[in-house]
Amino acid sequence: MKIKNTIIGTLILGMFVVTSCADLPQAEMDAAIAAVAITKAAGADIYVTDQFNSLNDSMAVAMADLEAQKSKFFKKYSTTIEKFNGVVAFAGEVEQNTVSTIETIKSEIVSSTTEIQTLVAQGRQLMTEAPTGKEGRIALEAIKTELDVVEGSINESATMAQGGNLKPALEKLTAAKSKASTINSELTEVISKYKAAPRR
Amino acid sequence: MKVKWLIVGFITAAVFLVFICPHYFMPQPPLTELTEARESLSLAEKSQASVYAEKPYQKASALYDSAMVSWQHENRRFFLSKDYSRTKKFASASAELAKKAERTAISSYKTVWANYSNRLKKLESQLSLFDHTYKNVPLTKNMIKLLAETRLLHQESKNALVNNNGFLMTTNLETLEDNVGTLITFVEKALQEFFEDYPLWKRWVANAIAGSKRNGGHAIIVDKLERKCYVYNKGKLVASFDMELGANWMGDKQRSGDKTTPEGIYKVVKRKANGQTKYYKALLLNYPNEDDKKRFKANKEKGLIPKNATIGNLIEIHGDGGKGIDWTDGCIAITNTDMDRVFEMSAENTPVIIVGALKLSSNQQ
Repeated sequence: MKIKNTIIGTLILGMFVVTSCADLPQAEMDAAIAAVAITKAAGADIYVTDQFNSLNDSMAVAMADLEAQKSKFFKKYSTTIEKFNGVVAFAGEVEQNTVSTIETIKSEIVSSTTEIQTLVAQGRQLMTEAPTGKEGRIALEAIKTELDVVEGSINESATMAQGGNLKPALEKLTAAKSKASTINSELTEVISKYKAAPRR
Repeated sequence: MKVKWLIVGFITAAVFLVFICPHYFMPQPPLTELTEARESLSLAEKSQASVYAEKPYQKASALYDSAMVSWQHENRRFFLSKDYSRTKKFASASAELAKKAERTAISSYKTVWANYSNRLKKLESQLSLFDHTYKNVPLTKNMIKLLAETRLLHQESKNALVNNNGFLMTTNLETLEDNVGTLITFVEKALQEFFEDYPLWKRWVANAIAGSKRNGGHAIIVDKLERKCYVYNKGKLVASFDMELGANWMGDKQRSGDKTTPEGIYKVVKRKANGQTKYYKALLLNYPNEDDKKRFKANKEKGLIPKNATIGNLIEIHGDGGKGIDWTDGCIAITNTDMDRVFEMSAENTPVIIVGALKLSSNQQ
């Protein structure tokens, strides 16, 4: 009887030992969760959306793998750990890409702002070259208003950029740059028409 | 004793079987369904379902989360009492809904962007009216600013359309539609007021042409809206010219310096040859005529114009035109070549009828 109980007890104990020997990769899971949160805080969901979605997919796969191991009789978390570590590494890449994308946008904002300022200055210079007095005053007034609006968009864009809305800020500047170029072309055309017209 | 050992052997075999093939004895999680749900959600997100099929996508995500919670819950239970049926149910429902969300998103995306594109095209066409049909309608400073802002916003929206920026499209289009609506309302109102005298203009022109026919002489008809100057001889149209006016051309001249071309029945009172005018050649008109004087006096009495205002004079048809914009102080400017012809065809007392428009604009009909 003693032998039987000993065998059964040993078997049951063995079962518990075997099924409980694998530790939950809590540290790796926490690190992965933290890494994903850091990339989101860095703005990955806005600036590198596709990569951020892929990162979330990887995290979901890792979490599913964790549960899949938990469901098993013999738990083995080595692949889960690999997956969580992979998520951490990928999150690092995504964060780096986010930072570099933000830097690129910031530098584009700076260069676009300078370009627009130059275009507006050119436009204002062209306006001084245009005939003054009654001739074309209203037309020039309209062009001046357009230049003012374009110049105003630089300030709007700067406010947006300061508020962290870099993409909309750049989009505003892109449109303003295009508009400023058009205005200058129109202005040049108006001036050339004036110059070409017979004058006495 | 034998029986006891048989029992022990049976238990040992059973335990070994459990160890060797646990999946035959333990309930298994619905891995296929969970994977399918996860992948379907990922595909739905790639199709921007979170934007274009928001509700089904969110529900599918919530169902997947429920499946995961249910899975975690079951994993905490004793291995023989685990039941993954709820997990499976949630995962299957999530996969199905995520697929539906993906399909909806693809279809909605097409619809929404076609709508954006159509709205932008309509706005583009309305804004282009300010380049031709409404080009000559004088705008106030506020309206000029609004038009400039609207044009810039339109450019931004065109970029957003190219860059698939749905958020910007939604916000910009609404503002654009409001702005264009305000601008068009302003212009339409101005045009409506402008056309109030249309029956009178029609009568003036018909009488002038009939007079030209009757007397066998020339008559000059000026259409301010169309910027056209027509010359009739013996009741027949013999020439037409493009022309330019003052910046504030719309409406009848009220006073000196308002840069408006008067509307009325006038005649040439002096032909100024080259050297007698700074604008190549000119035909001086008898502005102000008696009607103008009466109206000026009445408007002054009503307080519609300042007390110190004067009625103005020296309204001419002159050369040096062809600048492509309205630039005169109220005179009618044509090119020097055209001026040569008009000058030849006119004499002192040649009638000059200046009207707002010869035909109603499409929206006034």
